Amino acid sequence: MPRPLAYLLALIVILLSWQLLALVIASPAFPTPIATVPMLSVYATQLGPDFLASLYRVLVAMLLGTVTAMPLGLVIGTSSRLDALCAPILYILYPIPKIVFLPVLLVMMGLADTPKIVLIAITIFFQVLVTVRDAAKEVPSAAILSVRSLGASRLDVFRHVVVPACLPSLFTALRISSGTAVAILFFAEAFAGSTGLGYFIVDSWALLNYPRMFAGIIAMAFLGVLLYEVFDIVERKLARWR
Amino acid sequence: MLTFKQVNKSYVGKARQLIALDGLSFSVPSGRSFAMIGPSGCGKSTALLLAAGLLKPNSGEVLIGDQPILHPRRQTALILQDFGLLPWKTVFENATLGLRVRACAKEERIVRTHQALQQVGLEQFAAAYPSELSGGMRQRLALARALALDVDVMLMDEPLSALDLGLRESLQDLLLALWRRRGYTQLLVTHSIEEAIFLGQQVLVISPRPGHVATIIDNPEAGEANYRNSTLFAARCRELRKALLSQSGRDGAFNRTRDADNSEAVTDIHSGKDTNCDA
Repeated sequence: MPRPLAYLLALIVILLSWQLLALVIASPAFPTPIATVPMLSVYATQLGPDFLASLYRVLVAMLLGTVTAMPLGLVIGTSSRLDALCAPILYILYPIPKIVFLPVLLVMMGLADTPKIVLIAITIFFQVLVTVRDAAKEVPSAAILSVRSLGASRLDVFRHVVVPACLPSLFTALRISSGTAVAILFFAEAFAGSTGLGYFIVDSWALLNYPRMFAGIIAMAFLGVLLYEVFDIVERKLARWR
Repeated sequence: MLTFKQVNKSYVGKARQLIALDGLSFSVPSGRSFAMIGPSGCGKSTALLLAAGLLKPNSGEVLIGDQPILHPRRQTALILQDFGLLPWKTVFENATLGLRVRACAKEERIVRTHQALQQVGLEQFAAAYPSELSGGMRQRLALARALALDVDVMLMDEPLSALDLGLRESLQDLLLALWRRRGYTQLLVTHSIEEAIFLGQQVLVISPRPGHVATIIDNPEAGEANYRNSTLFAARCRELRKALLSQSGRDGAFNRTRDADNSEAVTDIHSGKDTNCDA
């Protein structure tokens, strides 16, 4: 089934179930899609800029987290000495929910884009670091040995063996953590500032305008799907051999 | 000439030190093809990695000509058991990789890679990925990657062990034809008695770990046309089989008390998958 058709079908199923659920629950806090969907165009002039602000934050943050974590993960994963040193540090820091640093970042960096981007970037950094490190450890030694026997330098081995071997894991990590990234984005935007989808949603809540709030939720869901698809497309471009 | 002089090599394992090679000495004269056979875990693969310059001996020397080998050398090719192909590169990109890391000029690189692919019959598959190839084709690709380089030493670690008999024999013929055309020094590690006799002008029988040369079987007729079907070939296979059995027979008991892994390896040879030429 072609991708757009699959999405269309999924959309129909979701909207139908939502409609049924809303009719059963019958609460003003849970409006039907029939009441909600038109709000997307009613508030388009506010939703559009807020959507773009959120998209910008999450994309820059994920890029930042990836370009810092990827080289580090590759180096740690391929050096058992460095790994012995870094693994305990990683194991202690990785499980800390990074969202707890939001107040600290807000105090240090103000209410604009920076603290939100940094918070998401830190989260992505650890997810990518751990995944890429594990993937780099698993690179088959036969591949490394035979490339080295061809006279390859350490840099050649990275370029031709380790990096391509780790790319699929990197993209799996990015797809999985795109959900977390959007969740953190929501929290950060709801907590501070007056832009972005997170702010739009809690602002609607404060106004008790639930259909408007759900329009924001739909936009946020779309943001998540967009990220997922972008990573999918980039992966298929970069890892055609799969 | 590829020479091993009293080579010792041990690995530091988790629980104990593992002596892989203990005084391994032999030499392969230039342009000759030798085979190395012995139970698994006897250090054959370690010997190849030493010859390729990917490992350094603890003591003793590995020489090519009069040059000690401590780093990978440009004119040496190594083909490992699972071929070491890169799944993310196409057939052409895999075959050209050696030339690429040696910064060979692009035009020359393309010509030489196509020639190498042609020699192994893979030129129509240049754009395919290794996962789209059969086992025999992958093996030929590994061979092409080595052939694209101007090599004078070819090292192979059980290159054909994953293939079925018919394919194996046709690839043995290919290995032989390429060796005769290119005239490189060849050292082949194998588990198969027939393969050792077919391709090795001398067959070095390695003892169970720690490995050293236990017996050498002279087999100067290797490389002659139709050798595989001659009575001499069958006789040589019998001779080699006997040498292997006496090795494992003698060292088996010694071995079981020392090292459980090795006795497994010995039974591996006993079980005689590879001795079917004996009939």
